[in-house]
Amino acid sequence: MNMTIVAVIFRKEILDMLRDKRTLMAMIGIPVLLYPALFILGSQAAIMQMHKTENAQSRLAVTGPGAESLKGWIAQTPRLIVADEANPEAALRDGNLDAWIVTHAPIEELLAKRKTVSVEIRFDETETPSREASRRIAETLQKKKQELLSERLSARGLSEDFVQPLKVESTSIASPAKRSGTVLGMVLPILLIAMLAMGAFYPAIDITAGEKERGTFETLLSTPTSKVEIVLGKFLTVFALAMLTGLLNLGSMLATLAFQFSNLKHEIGAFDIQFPPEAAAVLLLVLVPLAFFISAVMMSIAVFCRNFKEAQNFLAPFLLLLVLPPAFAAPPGAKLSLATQFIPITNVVLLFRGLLMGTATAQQIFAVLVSTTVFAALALAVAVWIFQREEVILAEERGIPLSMRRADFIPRLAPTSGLAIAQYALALLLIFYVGSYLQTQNLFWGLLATQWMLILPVAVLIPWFFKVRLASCLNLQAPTPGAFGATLLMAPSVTVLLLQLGAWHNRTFPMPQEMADIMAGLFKTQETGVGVWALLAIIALSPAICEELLFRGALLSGLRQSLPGWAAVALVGGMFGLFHLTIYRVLLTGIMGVVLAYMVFRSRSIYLSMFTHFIVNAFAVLTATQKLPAPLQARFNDGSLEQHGLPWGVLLVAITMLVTGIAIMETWGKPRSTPEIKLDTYDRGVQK
Amino acid sequence: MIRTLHLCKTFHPARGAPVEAVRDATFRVDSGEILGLLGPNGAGKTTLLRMLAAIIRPTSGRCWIGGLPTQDQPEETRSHLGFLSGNTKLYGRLTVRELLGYFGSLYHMLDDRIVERIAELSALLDMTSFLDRRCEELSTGQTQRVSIARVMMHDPPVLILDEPTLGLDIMTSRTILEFIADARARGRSIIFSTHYMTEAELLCDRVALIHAGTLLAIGTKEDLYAETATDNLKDAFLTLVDKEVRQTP
Repeated sequence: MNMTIVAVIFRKEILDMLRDKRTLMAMIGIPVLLYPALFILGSQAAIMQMHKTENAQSRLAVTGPGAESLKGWIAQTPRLIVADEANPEAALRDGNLDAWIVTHAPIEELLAKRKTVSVEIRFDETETPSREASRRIAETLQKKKQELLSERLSARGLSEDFVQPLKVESTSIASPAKRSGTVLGMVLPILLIAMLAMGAFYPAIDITAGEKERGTFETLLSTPTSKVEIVLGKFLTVFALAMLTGLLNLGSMLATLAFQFSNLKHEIGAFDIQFPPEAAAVLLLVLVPLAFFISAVMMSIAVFCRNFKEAQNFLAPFLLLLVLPPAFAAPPGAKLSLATQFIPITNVVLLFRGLLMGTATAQQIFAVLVSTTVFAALALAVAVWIFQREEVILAEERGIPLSMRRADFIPRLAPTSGLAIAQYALALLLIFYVGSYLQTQNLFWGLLATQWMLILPVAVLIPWFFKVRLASCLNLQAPTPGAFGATLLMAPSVTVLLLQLGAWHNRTFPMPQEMADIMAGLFKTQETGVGVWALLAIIALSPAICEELLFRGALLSGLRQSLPGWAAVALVGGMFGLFHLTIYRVLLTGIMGVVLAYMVFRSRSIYLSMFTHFIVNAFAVLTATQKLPAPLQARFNDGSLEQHGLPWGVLLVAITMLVTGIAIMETWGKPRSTPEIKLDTYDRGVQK
Repeated sequence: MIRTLHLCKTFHPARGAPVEAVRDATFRVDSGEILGLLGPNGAGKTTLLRMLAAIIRPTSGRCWIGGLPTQDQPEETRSHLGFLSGNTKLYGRLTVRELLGYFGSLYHMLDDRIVERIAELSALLDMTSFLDRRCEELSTGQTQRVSIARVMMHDPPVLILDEPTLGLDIMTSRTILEFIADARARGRSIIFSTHYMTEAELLCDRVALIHAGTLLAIGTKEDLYAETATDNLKDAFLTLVDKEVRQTP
């Protein structure tokens, strides 16, 4: 992939889009002109109406026994005028009267007997002047009621406390940030998502279905530009415009609101809104993968359509779908949980609310960022895949459905990067939704099922389906003696160094006690009834086989197609770290992932990383179950490792072994005959 | 420079039987040669040309452009050719200069060379007066001249031109045909698809006749006249189609 070409396409698409009136209108016209106009004119009209209603006089009729007394009470209230209407009911209905007071018994008589006087206010709640009249009457009568009560109490020599034995006061302890966060958290996420979607809407259609309709797609395809470069250039355009529109809309809306609030302070009172700057920073950070996700999905949908109109019809339901997750997250009690933090868009809405209320944790931010990024990457991988299908890209008369027949795939030696990333994303999703559920039902069987029934099929069956030769894709090759020798040095040294790193990590960034207890609970063999051998099978052997086939097999082979070796190794390590779904393990597992990926990258043998992975995990199992040799176990149990780390001598030996292992791997570890597998290296033997 | 071997393309529509758009096409076009591709609508011309341009993959068979296998090295192949068809339209919101610059960049040309090349082509194709106008504002003739310039930006050794004179006036057609003849003189390999038999007779060194996905004949005009006992391409084509229809069981 040539990033210069991606930049050329991006620049052209941006220029093209900025010359499109529809995009400009959606992107700049609406935020810059419409919001200020709507808000300012709208609120001014509302204020004018409010003033008008406040200053207007209310016409009312009073009927029934004791009406004269009532008229006397009301006469002192300004802007209440008693009118004589022969038919008050009709007058009220026709709008000639604003309210009608009806009494059902002689007032003076009842008051003299210290009885309760019933007064009925009739009004039309759908009419503002009528509502206002009712409010004014009720206010006046309330004052009168208080007056009469005071008279009765003083006649009996009683204080007002007599009729108020209990006074309840409520005091909210919520901070101003939390209070305003609750309000903003309901509104802001929905607005932001809607703005991002609006920003992505026209560009996504214009540069896919629009380009098809204008007949320029084939012009672009006739150039020496790869599909990945085209998708990336176009995707970056949609993403940039979505972000720009989202921020422009948001900025304009907030500026208009701030202007309005400052102007209306004397009208509606002070409104204390607090927006912590660190929350704003994280919010913007989460906005990036969210815009990424929305843009990629919209592009993937729009590319199926043959023209602009069809794409609009297809994308409109998607826009509605985007509003559903915020609605799902709308109930005030909804919070980020283990399940909701992996539901796309809903998790962002809940995180926004948590950030604004100051309740979001680092683990939640991390989980939402990772899962949103994974969804975004998956959506982009799907977009790339769709662009590879000539039936979709060149469909002129009608959109031809994607061919998913195995017979249509070209045999190849390694998966494409897109396919490898899709495998990773799929495995993650399966773990989010299926694996975590299985583990809640039965932890040990759930862990086993996660490895063998979720991770392994993704690693093996997907490449098989896409006709990728498994032996080369999964690096199923026997190591050279040199590589094996290097691994014998590297495996124990990595185990020791990870121990040291783990101790340091625990001191600087300790795992929450709750999580540590869950981890420790796994190894209580007496309580769980799961013995050491079973634990070794579940925690050491299964990941060593299944996770290795996915990460150091399919993923490494796939990423190697479009990345230099060192970058693929680093990325596989990083993705392995993120795969463990907790911020407290990402660094250690990430480093381990890099070492394992390096071993396979050099030796082309997955068996070496399987061996090392097993050794590292098995050591952890033996340590936690107290099965190490007694003197060694004692060092773990007395806490000296946690406090002081390993002795310098041990560390020095481990580092020397690692460096020697790497040197041996570099010199004698490379396979002699296997050439570098590159993308589009079709298996000609099969093709014939 | 262009070589195909048993090239086939079958489409699998969502409904109905598979469609064999091109069957067993084998031919070659040398440097400094124009091969005319003649056939009615739906004969498979565009599919064949798209396979040559590495825009779609053949179902079976192989083809090479300048020695490069199109299936295995599609991007490299496309950098050696210029492809023009009724489906390769221009970006309306870009000016002619911006458009040519964009395609120059996609063909990995340096900025200085792009500027020079735009100047050369606008002189050759008489585009100077509308170089800074948006493509959506151009007439049909001007648009087609810009399309030819777009194809020629990187001066490719192979040109695949699908009906480049369709719907043009006589003057613009003549400019374009002269331009194609000049490209041949400069050693370019050209495939020229057209409905206009007179253009093919005038311009092409050899002619391939395609019908229902099958190449019925390929050769010089004289060979085709002799084979069909006719004296013009139109009659030669009709004779071959009749023969094919009679032979089809």
